[in-house]
Amino acid sequence: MTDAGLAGGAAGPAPDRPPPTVSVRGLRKRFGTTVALDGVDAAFAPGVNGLLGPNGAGKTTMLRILATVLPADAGRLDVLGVDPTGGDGRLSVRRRLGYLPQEPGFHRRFTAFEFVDYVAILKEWVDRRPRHDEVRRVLGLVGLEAVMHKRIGRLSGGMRRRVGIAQALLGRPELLVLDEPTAGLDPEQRLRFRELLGTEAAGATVLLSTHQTDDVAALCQHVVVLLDGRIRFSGTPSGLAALAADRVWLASERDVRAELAWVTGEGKVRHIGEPPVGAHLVEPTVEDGYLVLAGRDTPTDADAKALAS
Amino acid sequence: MTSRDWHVPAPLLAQVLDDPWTLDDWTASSLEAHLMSCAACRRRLTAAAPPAAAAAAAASWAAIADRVDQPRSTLVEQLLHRLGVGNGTERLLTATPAVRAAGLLAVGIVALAAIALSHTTQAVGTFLMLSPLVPLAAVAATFAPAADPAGEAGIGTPLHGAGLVLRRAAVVLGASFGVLEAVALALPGMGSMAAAWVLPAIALALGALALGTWLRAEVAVGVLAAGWLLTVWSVSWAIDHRTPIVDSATFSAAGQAIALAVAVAAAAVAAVRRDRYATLEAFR
Repeated sequence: MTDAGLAGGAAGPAPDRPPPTVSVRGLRKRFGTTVALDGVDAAFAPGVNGLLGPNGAGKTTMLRILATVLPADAGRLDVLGVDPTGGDGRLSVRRRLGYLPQEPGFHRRFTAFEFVDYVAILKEWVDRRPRHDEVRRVLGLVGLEAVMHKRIGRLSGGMRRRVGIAQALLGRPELLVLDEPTAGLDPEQRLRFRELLGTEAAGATVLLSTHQTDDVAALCQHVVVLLDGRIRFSGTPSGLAALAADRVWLASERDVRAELAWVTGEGKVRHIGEPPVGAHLVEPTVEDGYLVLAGRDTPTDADAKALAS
Repeated sequence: MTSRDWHVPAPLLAQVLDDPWTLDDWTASSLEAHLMSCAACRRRLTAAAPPAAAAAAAASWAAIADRVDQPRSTLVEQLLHRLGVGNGTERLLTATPAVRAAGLLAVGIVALAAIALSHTTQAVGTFLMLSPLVPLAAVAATFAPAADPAGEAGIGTPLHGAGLVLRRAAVVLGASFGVLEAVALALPGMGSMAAAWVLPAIALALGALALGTWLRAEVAVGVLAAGWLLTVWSVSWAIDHRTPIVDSATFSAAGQAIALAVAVAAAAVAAVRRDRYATLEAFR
């Protein structure tokens, strides 16, 4: 399969991208009778790679496997040049990994500093002085210098998310696996996070899952869409948007023939599908492409307001 | 003065560097408070200082910050540090809420049991039957879902895995064995049986580590605790014809040999399946 296209098999990066540092082939994972990953083939190069998909699509399972915290049932993995399923390979990957789980499970009686310091010890930062310097550095990167001695239980949800991001950045890892890093962040913090990734993760391979299609458009050089444990798209964000090319229309009224239609913040009706009467064609976004691919039910007006914002 | 929007004006910064003694007390203390919380002004101060002074100031600040930021050590951490466990390992071994809770619970249970048992005729037998359950619960707490304060983020780190679980288990075993043995020696009539609980306790603790590669920690503890109590009861009542627990085959030389064999087998299983402790699956 080429870089920008619907996925039926493995997806390689575009010719102008560096060679992949993370690849999986035939990845499978099952929890009881639920199939979380159903023969996934994917390759990720240095840069920011986004995973899009609805809840339960398999994003978290895939990231956990790539972060070595969950074993796969089947499939071949190559992470930073090693197979992470064995003890030595797993150790090698973990020494070069920064991982932000969806639910980090903070010990709330720890301060932000104590928590990141604890993770730094787990990451083999043995000497206290350089370890503390690094802890202060990463907490400074996420703007938590002033509250680093506050207990995590007293921090807001957004601040706790930033503590999680800080621990993932310890030691400038080669591979950053971030599961919904922008969940709970306000718009300004999300912008700061984008800026942070641009500087702090330069040269690294970043894998992030998100529900925010605008994060994908702004951050990612490569995007993978997972639906029901299978890759449905692998390519560039513009390639994903292009799936909805010539299919997105703005009209003054809802058309029943539309595959998807919702009222925008401006009071217009955005249609995906056949052109309604009196509509005009508009440039598709990553979100449009994703919606075409996911084949969602028509969003409600409440959805539309959220989407418009 | 400490507002996030306010920064030290350049002339004042120059005065700090050139002639700090001319600052009045109020300004000096306000500046100090602001510099403690404002990295931007600290950087400006360092940049404006002569190179030698800047290096000295940076080193001095780093030393102060390091001291200020040093997390408080618990008594157990300090004890481990004195025993030669350092470089942060003492924190890894003790900064575990589930383990601390289990330790406190175990000490509490043992203390209460000792008070209660000292007035009964079955004190020794009851102690021998119940005491192995304390290390069992404590060891299971080392791989319970809440065992690690870093949660899932900690699992993706190099030091996470069977080695860490084993080291934590060694700490809780050492502590619980010490308390239990002190109680055993204090109980009247214990005599030569004071150490008869040790091998069964080790077998159960290692059994928890082995069974924990298949089952959740609390399920493993439940299965082993029920199995142990059933074994003690059935040997004493059914096989030994209602012999008092203390005199039953469970705590005889043969019983100790069986406990040793179970301990060795459990250790072997745990070693073979140690990879399970490297991932999330053993900590669910």
